Amino acid sequence: MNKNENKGKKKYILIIFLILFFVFLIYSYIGDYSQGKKTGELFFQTIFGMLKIIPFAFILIGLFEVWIDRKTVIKHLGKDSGFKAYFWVLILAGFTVGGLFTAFPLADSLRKKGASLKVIFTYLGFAGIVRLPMTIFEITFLGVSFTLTRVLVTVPLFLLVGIILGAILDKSDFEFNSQS
Amino acid sequence: MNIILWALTTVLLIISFIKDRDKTFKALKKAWKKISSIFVLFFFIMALTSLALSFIPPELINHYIGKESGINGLLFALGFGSVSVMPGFVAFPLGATLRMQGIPYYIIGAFTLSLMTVGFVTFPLEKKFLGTKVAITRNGLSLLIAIITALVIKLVFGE
Repeated sequence: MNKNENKGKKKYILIIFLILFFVFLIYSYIGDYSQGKKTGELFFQTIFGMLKIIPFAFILIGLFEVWIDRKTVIKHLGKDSGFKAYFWVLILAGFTVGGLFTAFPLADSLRKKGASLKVIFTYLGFAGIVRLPMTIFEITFLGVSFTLTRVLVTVPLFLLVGIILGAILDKSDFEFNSQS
Repeated sequence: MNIILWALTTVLLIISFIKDRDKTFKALKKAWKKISSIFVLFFFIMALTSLALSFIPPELINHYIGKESGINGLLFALGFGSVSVMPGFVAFPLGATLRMQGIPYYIIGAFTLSLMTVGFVTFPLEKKFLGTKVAITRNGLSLLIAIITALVIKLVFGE
């Protein structure tokens, strides 16, 4: 309840800021204030640019969430081991929404289902870098070649880190603290 | 680039509609819910960015994260990305705006990557779940990967 109230308050502050911002823009145009006019130009230029992208990106994300079933992926992850497990982990990370806050509980439940720490730490690494909604945004704003380079470099490196970290921890008596 | 996005979305939407009408409406509803939930924050960030870009002299921005900023620019981007928390729908448009101002890709990449993988603010949460030692190791290695990737981007784009 309290959290929601805080959220509402925050939104209220943002709206007041935006109203002041628009008042500033109107004054700048009336008073022919060049710095303010430049602000307005930049603002509307970006907003119109985004309007051409954002609705489409979000429709793609919506379609994706409706059609892809997370449960099927988790089921595969319990069964398959070795190379295949890392593949499923990559797919699962693609569906992670909400970053670490959802990745940790999922990692914990994967552990309970018997996945190895190598697989789980690879998942935690992947969850930061291949989330699909985020990647769709990245491609649309920074370009395919940027995102492709980024993905091709980070995926193998996080795979390596996940395997090494998991292998080391598998040997110790490491366990997740699922109380959190 | 935009045309590919428009075409892809339209084609997939049509296929989805033919296969399952209800699911398609559900997807559109989800999309609308997400858009409306970020709307105010999005306008706020864009207002802030355009204010910053028109009032902070370009030379100053360039001095810190521009083409000639070198290792300091890289460190600045990594530091900023590590300590801030913002969703991708804010970070990538911000990156695109910086790009339009001539900021090199590897600086933008250092920022977005450390933002995605290094969590200064989320560290307490990670510490609780993984323990201090493992959490520090994981974040340290993530930072290292962000640096390597930024350098590869620098090479690929010849910046």
